[in-house]
Amino acid sequence: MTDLKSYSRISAFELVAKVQRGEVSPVQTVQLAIDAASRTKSLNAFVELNEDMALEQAVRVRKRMADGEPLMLPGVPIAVKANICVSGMTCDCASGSLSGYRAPYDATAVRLLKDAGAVVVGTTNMDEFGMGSSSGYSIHGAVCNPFDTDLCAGGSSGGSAAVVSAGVVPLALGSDTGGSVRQPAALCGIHGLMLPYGSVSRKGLVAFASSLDQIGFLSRSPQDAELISKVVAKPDPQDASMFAGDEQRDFDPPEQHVRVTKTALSDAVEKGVRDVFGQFVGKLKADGWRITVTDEPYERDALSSYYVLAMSEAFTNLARYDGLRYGIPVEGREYRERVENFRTKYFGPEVKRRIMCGAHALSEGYYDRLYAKASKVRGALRKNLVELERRHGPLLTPTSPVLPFEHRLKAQKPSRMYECDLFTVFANLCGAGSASFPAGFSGKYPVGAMVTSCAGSEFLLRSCRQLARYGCMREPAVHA
Amino acid sequence: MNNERIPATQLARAAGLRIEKEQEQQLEYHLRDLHEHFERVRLLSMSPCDELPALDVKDSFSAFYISHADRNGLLKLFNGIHRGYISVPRML
Repeated sequence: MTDLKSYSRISAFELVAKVQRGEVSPVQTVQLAIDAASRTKSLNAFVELNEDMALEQAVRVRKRMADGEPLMLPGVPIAVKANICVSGMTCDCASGSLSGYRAPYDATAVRLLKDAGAVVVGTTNMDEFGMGSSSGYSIHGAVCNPFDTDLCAGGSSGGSAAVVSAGVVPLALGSDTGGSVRQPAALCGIHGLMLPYGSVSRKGLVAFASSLDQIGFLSRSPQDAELISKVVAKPDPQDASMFAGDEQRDFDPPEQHVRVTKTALSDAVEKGVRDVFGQFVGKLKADGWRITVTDEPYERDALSSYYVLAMSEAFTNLARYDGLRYGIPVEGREYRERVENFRTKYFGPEVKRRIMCGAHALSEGYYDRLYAKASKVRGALRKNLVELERRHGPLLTPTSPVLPFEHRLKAQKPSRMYECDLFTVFANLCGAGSASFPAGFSGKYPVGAMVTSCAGSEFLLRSCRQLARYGCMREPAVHA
Repeated sequence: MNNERIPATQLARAAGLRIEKEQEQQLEYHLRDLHEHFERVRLLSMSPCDELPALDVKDSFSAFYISHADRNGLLKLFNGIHRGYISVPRML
């Protein structure tokens, strides 16, 4: 297998087997990924494609293999979102405020992947600091959807989703704060996995909202998602928010039993998505799955609470970008003026809106009524989610309530963009695991379904593998 | 506290930003739009048994405050401990 056509369709699982059998070398796989990237430039998915560094890494992997070192991902090319540190590569979070910033070290997740023999070919485009659902709020321009380049790829990990969907790499890393891995995965017709909070180290992930941020995986099969999980989900003493040992799990949800929220079948979901999701649920029923339709408590409040919490944390986290430590220095008579000049000039409109809203939520007199109350919703939501899952199984919803949309949608009401996160924010608020998989197609556009579970990684991965069998995938219009 | 929004110029100053005159109207419109989410949370009536969760390090806020302990973060950490939002024994 040394031709681009076969490479772009192969899973990471199969690629590993071929490299181990000596049918293809790590250098060849990386060269194929670079060729594939140059054929799909129209997607605007890469912030940096570093051919020299990638080939150097591939040569090192070849040597390690020759030395007999056992590697789980030998020569597997991967792409990494531009808010995760890859030593020597651009990590600008698609923001002018970090323009030209190169990471001085590898994030733990990246280090584990490199140790396993994977090769990072480049960093991918995204919404600025992960704030957005279109990958259009980027200093590098919008990422295009491989199924229709007039439409957005979803976000904020749109670049990572687009390169996996277009067959450039079989695996990519993204980050998920409120659906940023799963929503672009759904809009690009691939798999997106976010393990429970604390499973994957956040060391080296640029913070947006630390209590919600997680590194997630994009792949073209659930098996590949499992493979990368095995490599990356390891304890890291440098991340205090990780599980100390094994995941804590005190219940076993029923098997072949899922619950579907009423909202997923209502007008809150675009007709094209609703129809495909309805057909998907029908297939499950016909095959003997038990489906319970539930009213999820605090369902509509979850989104609002999420935004209160995320914006508050973003306000604090982004305080460090003052133009002194990072970015291009600007003029100013005194410190405050310099900071204002820098942030006004280099932050994009969505980032400005969110940190201003964060300032509001944390203001004196508003804190208890907004931030504290949103925290209460979060606690209640988790309690209810566990209770409902114990009785009726994990939550099954569409991943995105809308089909891929035009880039200009973001210029209208911001709240319309936020509605894209209607179903995805649950998992982040509750620290649950969640996986999106292709459920079907509405015309030429992919529709994703998503399973969310509080019962631990193993159960989530098993459920995802079982459910994904009822969905379908297609090759996009832009493909390597 | 009432339903009134803080003016955009004041919020911008708190966020270390400056609003150009020509952007003010659009920004006010967008903030008004987003404020609906805030109002939804503000008007939410929670059950008395919905306590603020006691969090440990692996959860969220305590880790968040520890890893970003600037002056404001530390103040909020102590505030959180004082009010019982953060469980100190579990945190330690």
